[in-house]
Amino acid sequence: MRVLLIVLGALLVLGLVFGVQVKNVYNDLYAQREGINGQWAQVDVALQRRADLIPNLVETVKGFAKQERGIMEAVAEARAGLLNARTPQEKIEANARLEGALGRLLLVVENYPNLKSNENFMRLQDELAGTENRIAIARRDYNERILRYNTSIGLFPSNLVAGIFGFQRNDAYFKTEPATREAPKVAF
Amino acid sequence: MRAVLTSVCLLFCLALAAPAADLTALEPTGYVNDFARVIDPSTRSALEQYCAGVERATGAQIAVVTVDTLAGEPVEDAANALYRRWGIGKKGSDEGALLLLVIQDRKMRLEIGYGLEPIIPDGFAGGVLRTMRPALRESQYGEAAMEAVRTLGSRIAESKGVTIDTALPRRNRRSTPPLNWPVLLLGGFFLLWAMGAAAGRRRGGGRWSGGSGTGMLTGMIIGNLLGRSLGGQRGGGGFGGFDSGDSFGGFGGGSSGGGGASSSW
Repeated sequence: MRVLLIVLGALLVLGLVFGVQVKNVYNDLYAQREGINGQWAQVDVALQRRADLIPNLVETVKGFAKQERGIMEAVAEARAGLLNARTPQEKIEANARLEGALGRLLLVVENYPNLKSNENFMRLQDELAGTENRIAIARRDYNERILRYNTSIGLFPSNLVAGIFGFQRNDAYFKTEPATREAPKVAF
Repeated sequence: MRAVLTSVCLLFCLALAAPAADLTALEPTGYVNDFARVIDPSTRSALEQYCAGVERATGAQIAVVTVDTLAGEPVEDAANALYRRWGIGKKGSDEGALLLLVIQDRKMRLEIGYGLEPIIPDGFAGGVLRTMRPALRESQYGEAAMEAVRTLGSRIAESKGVTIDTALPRRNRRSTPPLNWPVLLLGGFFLLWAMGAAAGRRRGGGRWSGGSGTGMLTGMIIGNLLGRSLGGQRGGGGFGGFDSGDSFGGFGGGSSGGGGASSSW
C-alpha cells in the first residue's frame, strides 16, 4: 500500500514537471510562430512604402527625361505587380522585379545632370535609399526569426513537442537575387 | 607542418584585423563618442551640452560617433547594429538619432529611430548630410557634426513646440560679484567628485533613473562657474568631461528600423 502511494506520488510529481516543461516549450514555439507573422508585417510596411514613393519619383524623372518612356512604364508595371501580390512568396518575387526596374531607371538618370542635381530628386533618392535600407533590415530580422523558429523545432526536446502539436518547419525565407542586391554600377 | 604554420599565421592575422572593424565592442561614453579622435575638446563639450539640452527639452537622444574605418562593412549595417545595441532614444518612444562618421572611409550615416521618422524624413536627413560635406572635406569634423546636430535639434524642438536651453557657459560674460576663488574651486572639486562617484554608482546599476534634477542643476551651476573661472583652460583638462558626464545618463533602449540617410564626402 505504502509503496504504491510512493510510486503514485513520484509519478504525479514527474507528470507535473513534464507538463510544465511541455507548456513552456509549447508557449515559446507558439510565440515564435506568431512573431514571424509580426515581422513579416514589418517587411510588408517597408515594401508598401517603396511602392508609394514610386509615382512621385516617376513624375520627377518625367519632368527631365521624357524620352525614357520604356523604363518608366516598366517601373510602373513592376509597382502594380507588387501591389497586386498577396502571399509573401508573390511579394518577394514582385519585389525583385521592381528592384531590377528601379535599378535601370537610376542608371539612366546618370545621363541627366540637371535631374541629378535637382533638390527634389535628391530627396526622393534619399527616401528611396532609406526605404531600401528599411526593407533590408526588416528582411534580415524576418529571416533571423524564421531561422530561430526552425532551429527551435528541430532541437531536442522541443522537437517532440513540435511533433505532437503540429508545429511545422517554415521555409518562407526572404531570399534576394544576388544581382538585385548589388547597386547598379555605372561604367565610363 | 607548413600548412599548419600558414593557418596559424592566418588566424593570427584575422585576430589582429578583427578589432579594427569591431563596432560591437564599443561602449557609449556620452552623447559624443569620438573613437577616431577627430573632435577637439571644446567642440566636443559644446556638442555634449547641446545634445543634453535637446534631451532635456524634447526627450530625444542624439548620439555622435566617429570611427576610423569599418573595414568594408556597409555603413548602413554598422549604424543600425550600433544603434540597436546602444539603444539610442527611450524604449517605446524610440526618439533618437545616430550620426556615424567613418573618417578613413569618408562615409557617414544619419540613422533615425522609429519615433523620429515622421519628424526627420530620409530626405531631410540626406539634406543634413549634404550640408556637412564641405566642412568634412576640410577635416572640420567637429564643426560639421555641430552644424548637423543643431539642425536636427531645432527641427525636433520646432515640431514639439519647445525651445532648447543648452545653458552653454559664455566665456566673454563678466562675472560681476567678486568671488572667493580658492574656496569655490575646492568646494566645486569636492562636489564634482562626490557627484562623479554617485553618478558612477548610478550608472553601474545599469539603469537610468530619470531626472536627477538637483544633481543636474548643481552640476550645471558649478560647471558654469568653473568654466568662467578657468576661462581658456576649460575643456583642456577633465572638466569638460565632468560636466558633460553629469548630464548624460546613458541611452534608453530605443530602436531603429533603418530610417535615415547615408552619404560620403
